[in-house]
Amino acid sequence: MKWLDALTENSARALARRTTRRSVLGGLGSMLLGAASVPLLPVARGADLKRAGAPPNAQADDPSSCDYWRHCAIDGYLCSCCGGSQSMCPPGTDMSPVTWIGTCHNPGDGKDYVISYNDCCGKSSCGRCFCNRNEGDSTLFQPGRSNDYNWCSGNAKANIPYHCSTARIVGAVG
Amino acid sequence: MRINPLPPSQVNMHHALRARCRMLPMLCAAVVTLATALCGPAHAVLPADVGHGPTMATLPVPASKHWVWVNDFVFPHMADGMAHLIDGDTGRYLGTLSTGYSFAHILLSRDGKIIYSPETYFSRGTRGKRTDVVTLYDAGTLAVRGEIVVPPKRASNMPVIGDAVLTDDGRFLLIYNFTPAQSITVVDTKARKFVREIETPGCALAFPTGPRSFFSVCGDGSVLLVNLDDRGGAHKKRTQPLLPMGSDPVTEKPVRVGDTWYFVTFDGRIVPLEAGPDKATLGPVWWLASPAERRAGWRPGGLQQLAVDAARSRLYAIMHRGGLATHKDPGKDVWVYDLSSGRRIRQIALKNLASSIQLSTDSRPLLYSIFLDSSELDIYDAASGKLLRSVAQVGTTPTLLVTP
Amino acid sequence: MRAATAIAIIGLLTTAANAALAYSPRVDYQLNCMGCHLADGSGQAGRIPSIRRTLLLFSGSPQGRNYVIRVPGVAQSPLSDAATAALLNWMVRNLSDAAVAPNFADYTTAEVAASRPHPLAHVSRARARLLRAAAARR
Repeated sequence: MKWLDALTENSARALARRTTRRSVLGGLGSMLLGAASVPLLPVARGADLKRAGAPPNAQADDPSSCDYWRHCAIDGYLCSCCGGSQSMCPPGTDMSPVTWIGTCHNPGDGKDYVISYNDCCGKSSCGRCFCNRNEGDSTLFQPGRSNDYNWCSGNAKANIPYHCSTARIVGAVG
Repeated sequence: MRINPLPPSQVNMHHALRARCRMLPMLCAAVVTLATALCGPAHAVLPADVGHGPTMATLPVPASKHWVWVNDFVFPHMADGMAHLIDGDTGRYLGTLSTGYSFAHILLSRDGKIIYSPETYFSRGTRGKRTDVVTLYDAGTLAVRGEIVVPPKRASNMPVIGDAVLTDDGRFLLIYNFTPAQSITVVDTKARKFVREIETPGCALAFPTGPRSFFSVCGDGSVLLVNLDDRGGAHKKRTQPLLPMGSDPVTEKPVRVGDTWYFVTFDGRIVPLEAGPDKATLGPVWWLASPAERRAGWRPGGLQQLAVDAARSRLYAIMHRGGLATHKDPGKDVWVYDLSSGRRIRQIALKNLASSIQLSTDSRPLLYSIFLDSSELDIYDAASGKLLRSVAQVGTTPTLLVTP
Repeated sequence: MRAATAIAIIGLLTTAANAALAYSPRVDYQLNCMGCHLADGSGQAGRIPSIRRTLLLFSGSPQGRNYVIRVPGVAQSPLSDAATAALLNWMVRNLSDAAVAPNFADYTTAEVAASRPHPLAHVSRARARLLRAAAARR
């Protein structure tokens, strides 16, 4: 069914353009789509928060962009594109209190922040603005540092359907 | 002037069909042909299908060694997990399993007659009461043969092989749970019942080490060795930290040859863990890429990022160029190594990006490759790296490839 | 290509164990504990233990303190022994429902170092035993 192919191809490309230069649909898919992969360095792996200087990035302050600074280790659909925001779940979904927590650098104020990637649960996948970035992400062996778990798993009320992901500020690193 | 030999009603039918065929060309081409055939004066009447012959295709058991199961967690619609069966020799699509919410992967019984599938369902689709089961499918008909209800705790994560494994004797099925408390569910495949849950505090996934044993990997790099007795009872022993977990940790995607599980780190070190029922030791560590290649950014990535040809002692790895934090990125290259020497013996340039690779287990192995964000399965000759064929429209977000 | 050896691994593990991020105990709590135990330490009934109700209680006996240090989340954290001790003391004082006695004996680096290499294999069993013992003491 050609029309179906065309539809998915177009939407995948559009999704890729809209959301991220680095990744498209796929929990690990960082498909390089022509644009340079931004070396969002040293926060990687939570080892060192000292950063030589943030990369120039026009979309670092757009919450519906994968390049938004808070999304440095997010994995999933952006709630900002799904009727919620970077800190709020879309209507009718339930925020999982249990999650994993990392750090991201805000080029806007030069500060590093502790970010909580709470998932919103209880409906099927939002399907919009997929984003996967992995700064500081570890593996399933270290759950508290892994974005590969569905964190709706810790949600007693809406266990476990995953809808989208938020990136909430816990506080500045200090 | 009358140029169409068909009566008006049939002309309209053709127009209607052709209009629809812009939407559904393949299906409709057949219908239009059939309509023409039925209406045209010069054709013999085709025999009726209705009332004759079988209405469902079946598959030979055991499966061909050149078949591959493409597991799909269908990320945009996770309640609708699927597994797709493809014949690697012809590219034919052979059949489907429908496998519920947050699907990881199927497992094949040792005799090839049964397919086990840990699955999750909700009574109202994406809400309501959660039920986890191991569904048993008949390998010849792909029909449901039974199910075993297990605690509703299956981990929901980016699928990895360690999410569910069989012990080497094929008797016990082990399922990783995450609530976020970590444990392993033990299912007796012989008695077809849930046996028990083994607490694995701080330790994840299951990797078989023998007929009745497995290990989980703990967050500090130590290994939890677990032995099962005949009734599924568990005896646990925890090693000292062995596997690297620091700034260059091992991934949760190792492959096994005999007693050795080959782990790979983010930066591309191969870390062999020789593991039996009672002990685990590290073997010599080696790099996938040379120092110069590493400086150029070469590192492994992907979901099912390694594959092994155990008979020939070959390791295949998906490689890409990227910096830190690209440990999950797909690659367009597969590098092949001789496991006994650690020497690279081939570099295969793939047709498409790959996040998962797998090998068939016969004497003339095929190499399968697929990308999570594509649905084209590419099939290569594993020895030469030559592309044999591509199969389009296989799934939505294909994850793990399982070969008989 | 077998340039590196198992010795390299040992070196790396040492690095990992010492990868103490020089953060305040509050930030260490946020980065290493809060994901499951929540910002206020209350956890989730039946799933995730409440630090608020039990940390101070367990910290009153040698067995309890040994348990706390050997819980996987503590034993396996990437923090140094000193940072782990500081974090536990911060949690006792900032996340406990009950009042903390002025003479509360702080967790020490040596104490953490002694118990930490032996993470618990049977957490829920050990926890149940401690809770029973605590109930009997009352």
